[in-house]
Amino acid sequence: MKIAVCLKHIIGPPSSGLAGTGAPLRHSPNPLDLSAIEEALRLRAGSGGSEVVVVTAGPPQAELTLNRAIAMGADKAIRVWDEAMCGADSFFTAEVLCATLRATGFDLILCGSRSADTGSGIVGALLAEELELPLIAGALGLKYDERTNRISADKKLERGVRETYTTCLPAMVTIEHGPNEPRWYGAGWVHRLLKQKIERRDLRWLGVSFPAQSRRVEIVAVTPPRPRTKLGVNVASLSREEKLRMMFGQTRTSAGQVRASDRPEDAARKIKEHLDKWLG
Amino acid sequence: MARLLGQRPCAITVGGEGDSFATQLRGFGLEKLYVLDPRAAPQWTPETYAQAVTSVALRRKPKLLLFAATPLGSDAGARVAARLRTGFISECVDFAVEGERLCARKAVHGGEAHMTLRWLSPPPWIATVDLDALEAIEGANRCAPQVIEDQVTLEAPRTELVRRWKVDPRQLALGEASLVVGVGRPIIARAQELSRLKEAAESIGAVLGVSRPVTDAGLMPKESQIGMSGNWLAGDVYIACGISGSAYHMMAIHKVRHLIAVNIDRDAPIFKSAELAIVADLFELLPALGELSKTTA
Repeated sequence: MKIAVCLKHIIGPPSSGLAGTGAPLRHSPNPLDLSAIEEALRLRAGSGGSEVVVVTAGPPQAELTLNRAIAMGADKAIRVWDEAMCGADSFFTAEVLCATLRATGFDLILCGSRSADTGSGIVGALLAEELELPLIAGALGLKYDERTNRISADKKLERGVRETYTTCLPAMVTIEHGPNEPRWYGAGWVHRLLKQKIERRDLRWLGVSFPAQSRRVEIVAVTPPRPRTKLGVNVASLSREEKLRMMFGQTRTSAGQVRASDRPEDAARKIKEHLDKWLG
Repeated sequence: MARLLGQRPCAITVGGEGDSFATQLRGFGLEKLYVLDPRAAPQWTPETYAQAVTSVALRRKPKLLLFAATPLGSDAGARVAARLRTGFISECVDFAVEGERLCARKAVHGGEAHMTLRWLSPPPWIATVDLDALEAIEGANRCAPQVIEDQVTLEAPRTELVRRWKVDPRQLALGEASLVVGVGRPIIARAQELSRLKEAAESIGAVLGVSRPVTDAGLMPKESQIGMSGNWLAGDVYIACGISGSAYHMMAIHKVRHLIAVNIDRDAPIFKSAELAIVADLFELLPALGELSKTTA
């Protein structure tokens, strides 16, 4: 089985408190993509003759992420980059990744369910659409059944609900942070890092040209986070205390405070009443 | 939102009980409710939902399609946007109109900054909305939305839902649990009580967490720590017992919907933000609460 893992290299702002001080930018692999590599390596260990290929579309710094993937145990690493890709949106990134994946071949494609920076979480769906693959999004862990050539994945919903999906290979699966912690380095990592070369490709090699309709969304501004406010609340009608509460990001509306300093049984009953009301 | 764009709000749902659902939605200002036949798909999964919404969107040509930023909504929303090849912005916390264009604001880099984005592609624009940023407003218009039965024909799904189950609420990680009991510093001096408190928390179906001083003292593992450097809560109710409410602790629980505080100090800062403030000894109160739910259950 050939498993391709798509990675994103994240260049983030310096740690909080250091913004605007000229501190260096933070470089890191997208954490969920590391979980995807981990799942790929586990699948490889479970079935003989498998290969894990990691792919990224990013500038030279993105090789830091590929090196981490190689150290973890990836068999092959490919980086695609072209100056034209500066400021590319998810759609173009997905197109480039598709062309690369078609060139390398695959049975299963994995990636993190979203990136930790802008995190639109659409690249997985785009890859599946473009390559006409079935998609399982937000999988916690993967199992492969060699006999039926099917893959099954657990998915996390709200309030502890889980679902298991299965689909036939070839398939696209996006990974959510699950029970399998990504390993830091795999055995023999020094040797692998010395031996393995990262393949570098550009758009001409892939036969992809920059699309005419370049972007579907554009960035207007990046601002410091504003406290949460609720949409649709008429601010003018709030009391000063409520406005302050909202400014400090407290969206809990006070249901009137109850001070019960009586016997613990009575206090417990009071809590129980509220629990029943709030938890439904 | 519709007022912002000068359009009419409509909703899409699946199910046979369209009329009763429409009655429930009365007063929320919806004009139309498209009801799909639940028999259109063998299973309703993100894949089939996305196909259904796509086909309704192609026919009805909405300006904006909103999904809730829940696991299902995010999954289906991304699929619809990929299918329609149109602009997609996830987990929006605010919207604004600039001229003809719609902007949305969302948190990026794990909440360290906010980014405002603008749709450039022709409609439908697709977004998922952070549910914490919303409040249901009941308008003056008490009309129920008009129910429109819509037919969709779907392709054969390629993913299959084989099992759906619920994890025991007490086994959940703190970040996912809907009811959490947090215990603070007083437990350090009375470590022998820990198992009793655990039992009490279990009997009300809650996950037990502790504050930083307790994990630092080595009483509980790091995984059960609630705080900026531990677990961030996002559940429905948090019962903070013997926790004064340091800024680091409060930051990590700001997403919890309802806060109950229990403390013997009637001036504990946590009482300021608690909905239910109880001046009591946690070693008496928690077991009493556990007993109470055992007898009622």
